[in-house]
Amino acid sequence: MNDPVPSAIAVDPILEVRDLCTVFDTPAGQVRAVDGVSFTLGARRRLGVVGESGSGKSIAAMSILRLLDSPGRIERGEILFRGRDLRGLSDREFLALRGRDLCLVFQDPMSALNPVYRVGRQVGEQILAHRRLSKAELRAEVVELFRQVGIPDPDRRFDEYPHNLSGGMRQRVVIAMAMANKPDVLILDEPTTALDVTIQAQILDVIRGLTETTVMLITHDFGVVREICDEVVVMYAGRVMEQGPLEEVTARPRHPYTRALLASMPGLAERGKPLFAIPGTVPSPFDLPPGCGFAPRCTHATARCATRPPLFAAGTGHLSACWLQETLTND
Amino acid sequence: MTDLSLSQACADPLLEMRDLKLWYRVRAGGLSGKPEFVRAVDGITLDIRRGETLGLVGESGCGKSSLGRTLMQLEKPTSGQVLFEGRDMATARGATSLAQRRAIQMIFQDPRGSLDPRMKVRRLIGEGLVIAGVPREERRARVEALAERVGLRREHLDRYPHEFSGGQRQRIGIARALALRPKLVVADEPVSALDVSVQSQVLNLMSELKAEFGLSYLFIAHDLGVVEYISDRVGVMYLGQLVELADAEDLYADPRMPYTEALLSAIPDAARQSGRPRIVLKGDLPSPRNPPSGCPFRTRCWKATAECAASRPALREVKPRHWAACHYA
Repeated sequence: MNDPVPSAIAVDPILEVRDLCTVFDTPAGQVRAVDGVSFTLGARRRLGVVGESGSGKSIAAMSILRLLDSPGRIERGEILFRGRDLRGLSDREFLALRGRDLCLVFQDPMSALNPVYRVGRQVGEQILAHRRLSKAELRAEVVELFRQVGIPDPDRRFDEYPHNLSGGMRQRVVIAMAMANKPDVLILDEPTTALDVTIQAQILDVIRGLTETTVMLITHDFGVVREICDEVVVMYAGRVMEQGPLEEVTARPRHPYTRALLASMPGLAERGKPLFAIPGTVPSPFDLPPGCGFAPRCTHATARCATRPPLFAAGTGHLSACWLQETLTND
Repeated sequence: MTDLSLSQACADPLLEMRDLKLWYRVRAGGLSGKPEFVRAVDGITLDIRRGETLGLVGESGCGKSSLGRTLMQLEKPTSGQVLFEGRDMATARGATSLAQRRAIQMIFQDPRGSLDPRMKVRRLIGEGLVIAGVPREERRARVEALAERVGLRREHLDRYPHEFSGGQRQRIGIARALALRPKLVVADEPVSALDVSVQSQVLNLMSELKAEFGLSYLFIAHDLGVVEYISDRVGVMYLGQLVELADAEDLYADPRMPYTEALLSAIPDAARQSGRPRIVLKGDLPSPRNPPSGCPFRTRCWKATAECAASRPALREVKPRHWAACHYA
């Protein structure tokens, strides 16, 4: 989409993504993993990006952080951090920023940690990459970080290896590592998906406690977004379907996909009655529908859906990419 | 627990577990000291009734999958009994044993890992029928009928598993499990690898098939929302032990064991309709290699007292049809 996108939330924006398109040129054809995605992160807000596998949510984050590997590339779009376009920075300038101002936490903490180094040293490395400290200062600072993310007995944990720690503890170490330089923006990609629910609750508590940090949380689980986010972006097949304040989107979802996704949650279903199910499957990235990505599975689809709908305003800061926007009724 | 009066007796159970234990030896005994065991399943007494869906929940390492594998006879229990239609599975021989094995089938979590990538769908679904000696023509008809029933098209039968999406692969796994007309299906995390939008399709299919084929399910999952929806009764496991068992509605409305309370309160609630106060537990799951004395949950429990360390609470009926293993339930 080349037409200007209505901006969702304008309060003190810290990270703005405008019309981001990320493509992968493969021998089997071009995959548009992220297709015209725009959103704004307000300072100290928590934004949830929800989507199923293949929705482009992780690729969007990797595009922002310049972590795309060939053949992936950003085709167009702007990524503004404090008003400055990150795409214009040299690698050197970008590296100074990543890890200090912008940090990422991955789903699997084991792959983010080096198995042969003690965890305290690994967190310390993050600090030393951007600042100079004495050994004693460094240790004190890391121990303090461990305390902040709720690691019990932090001084002893400093000298442990990753394999000595449980999954929940490892994820805390990775979050401590990301928080080491007090980043402005923390991007978390499925941070609790590999964890049990009681441990997930602990990690969500830690994230909730980072009140000075702007958080972008990528997840497939609407429930997790519901727990800790202020705003939500719903993605499907590389595009934004709906976005807006969390309460607004969950209480009055306007896009048929968001409605269907929320209705599919078994927690809402009555036992003995069939669950609400979205027919069909997520489209192949090589064969995306020309218009609305959700149209082939949508019960409301009409001929109009063969043309890609723009984002329509659906309320204050609430946008929905559906031609039926006007006719969908509130309930 | 050897008190069999605790069994949740019903007239005609399909499968009965009697003080079932599955301990894995992780260190041999000898001059260096005592042998060490992981108590994956540690004294479970539980019935599965005809026509019911029994949900089994718990966090990773609680032994729920080991329990399922023991029922499938993929693991030999360390002690205790499993009776299928009243007959001890360990001592059954010949035709009885064969019939028992056919009557219990399994649906796996990862349909990619559980389907042989070199077999076409037709063979995947029909493999059990070949082994059972079903003649070619009948086999063909049954495979085609099953495939159609689970929502696969005729042309899918001559494709390989990698050509399918996760949801379709799980349909293949279900058809394969049903080919031998089982009475009990052990479903171990059958939908947790699927996208939310596909998960409901598979759950609905499983419900329909249960009614049509007269199945019972042991539904093992960590997703408490899914388990609540699909189960008639739900058992909660912690460190190899059954710590609570009740009708699904009752368990979710009125959990008696603090662990169940914490588990339920930790579900991220997309609808935020429950209004339960969140209980954030301190600490991690203890190692099943070295479980705490007394109540296994006492190290993380906010209600624990000296009594909890001293004696292991028995699973007792705290109200009609509701069992909990807590001194204070």
